[in-house]
Amino acid sequence: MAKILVIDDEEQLRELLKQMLTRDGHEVVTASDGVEGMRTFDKFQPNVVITDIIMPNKDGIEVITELLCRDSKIAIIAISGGRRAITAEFNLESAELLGVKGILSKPFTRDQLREAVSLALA
Amino acid sequence: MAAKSKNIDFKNRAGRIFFISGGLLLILMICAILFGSYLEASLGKFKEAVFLGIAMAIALVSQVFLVQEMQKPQVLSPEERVHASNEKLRHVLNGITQRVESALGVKSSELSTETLTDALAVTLAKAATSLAERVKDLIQTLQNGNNDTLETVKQDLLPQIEQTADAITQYLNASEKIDATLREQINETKQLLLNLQNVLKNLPAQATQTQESPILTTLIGETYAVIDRHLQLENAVKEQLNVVANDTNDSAIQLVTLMRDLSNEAENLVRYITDAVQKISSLDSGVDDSVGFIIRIAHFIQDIPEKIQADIQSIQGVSGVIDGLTNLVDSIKEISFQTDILAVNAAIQAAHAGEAGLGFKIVADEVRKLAVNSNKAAEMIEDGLDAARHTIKEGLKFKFLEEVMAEMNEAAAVMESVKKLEESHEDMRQYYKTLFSVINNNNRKLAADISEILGSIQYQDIVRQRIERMQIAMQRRDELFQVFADELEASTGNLVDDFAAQMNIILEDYLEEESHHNSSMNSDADEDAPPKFELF
Repeated sequence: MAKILVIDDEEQLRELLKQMLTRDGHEVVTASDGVEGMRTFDKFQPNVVITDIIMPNKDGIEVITELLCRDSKIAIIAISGGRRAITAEFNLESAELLGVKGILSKPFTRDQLREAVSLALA
Repeated sequence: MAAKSKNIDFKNRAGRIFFISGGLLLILMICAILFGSYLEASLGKFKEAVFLGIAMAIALVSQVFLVQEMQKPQVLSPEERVHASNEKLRHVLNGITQRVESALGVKSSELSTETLTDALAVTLAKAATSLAERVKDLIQTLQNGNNDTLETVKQDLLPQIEQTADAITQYLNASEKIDATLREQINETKQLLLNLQNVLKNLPAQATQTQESPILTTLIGETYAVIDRHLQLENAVKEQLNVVANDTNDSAIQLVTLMRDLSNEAENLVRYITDAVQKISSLDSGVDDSVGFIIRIAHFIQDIPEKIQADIQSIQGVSGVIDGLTNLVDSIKEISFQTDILAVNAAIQAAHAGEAGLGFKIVADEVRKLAVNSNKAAEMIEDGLDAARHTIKEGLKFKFLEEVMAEMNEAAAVMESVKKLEESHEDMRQYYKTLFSVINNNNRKLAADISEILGSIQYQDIVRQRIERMQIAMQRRDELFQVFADELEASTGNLVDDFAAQMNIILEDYLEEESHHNSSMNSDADEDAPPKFELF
């Protein structure tokens, strides 16, 4: 179906997302932070990028900004659960303002993920 | 210099022509007289014969003139050529008149009209004289270059030629007895005169307009009215174009100014936020250092109670050792007591033994002294140990330990606070980083959009420039129309060729200007380059 890159520092969620998307027929690669994510993007050239916001080394906001500066049409879905004082809403609203195609607040359902991916691919 | 050489050339040629014409005339006059004698013999009319000779002379001289004109190499300009030929013609005609008058012995105006043929002959002579005058006028006019007068002169001259030709025709008709050969010659003369008429008509191109018909006049009038109305319409359109150009220009300039301000503000904001982000980074590292330092202090505070605990334990160990030593001192004291009793018993036994036990008594006394000294030393040690135990007990009271335990708890709380502080700092940093990233990114987009808008507004200015170029071309055309209309109104219009040429120049200028601007725009066009703002 589509080539999807998942960037998240939480290994469990990363693997879960990979399983879910692979089961839907997508080709999925993962990265554990923004730096690795950008490297993988260059190598893999995915159709969709699903990225967490709060991550070590390079966060999701930096990843989104860099990718959209390269090509404003890249389909990106931002996912976030927030952390302490920083809420998921704030992170996702920020990502939306940067120009991502979809946002998902953690935790999200499989259907919500499917819908976001299909909207991003449309 | 050129004019002078022209004059010299003209005079030379005129003189030559005059000379040749004079010679020819002389020959012709002789021929005419001879022919007249012949005619007189056959017809008995000397005057008629003479006038016929004159007519033939005119025709032949004209023929010579025409032949010369046609054969002359094209070294002179058309104007010069006309001028020269007219000059020749004038001389020839003058010469003819003079000779006619001298032959008759009277002025042509005073000739009697006894017979029809005489009358016709007189008419012919008058026509020739008048023709010569008109040609003189024509020369004068051409020299002055006055087109208006030229028209008048030509209008006079052409009928004169026609009149002369008519005179010849009438003369031929009236004089039925003329010899066939002569008649043919006279006819040829007439034909040549008509040719001369055509030449004169065609020499200046403008002459084609001289014969105005009523229809033409009406058409010209209507054309003038149409042009006039067209000019009025054009003026109205131009005014509107001016209003549109000015309005759009004003609003475009206003828009550009506003956009510029907006763009500058956006740029300033981007710069401010970028600087702020950099400052926050340096602040971050400072806060990081401070937090690290606080964490180290917290760790140190956290470690203090443990250290104190260890110290207390070691001191308590010392107290134990002191207690152990006190027991040892007691043992020493007990040993000293036992030794003392033993020494007393030994002394009693030595006394019982008499003299034999005397030495033993000394030893027993010394042992007793030793026991007493040992006891004293033990007491001294005991006192010292008591003092040490007292000191330790004073220093390590149970209350102190409680305080240490409380401080230990507080140190743990400090550690917790520092950890929270670190987390809050981390959150704040993340928060501002996200915030600034979004603001910066949006500002960049805003600046790019504004730049695009400026480019679009610049296109409006290109439109304005196009309108201005159109206006200039229209203005030039209108001026030309006005001149043309004035000429038409004055009914002297001979500008048709010029007008078309001028219109063509205006069109070519306009197209060249437009293509130049387009090509310069195209050559500047670079898809990646930002729009240029050369016009504001």
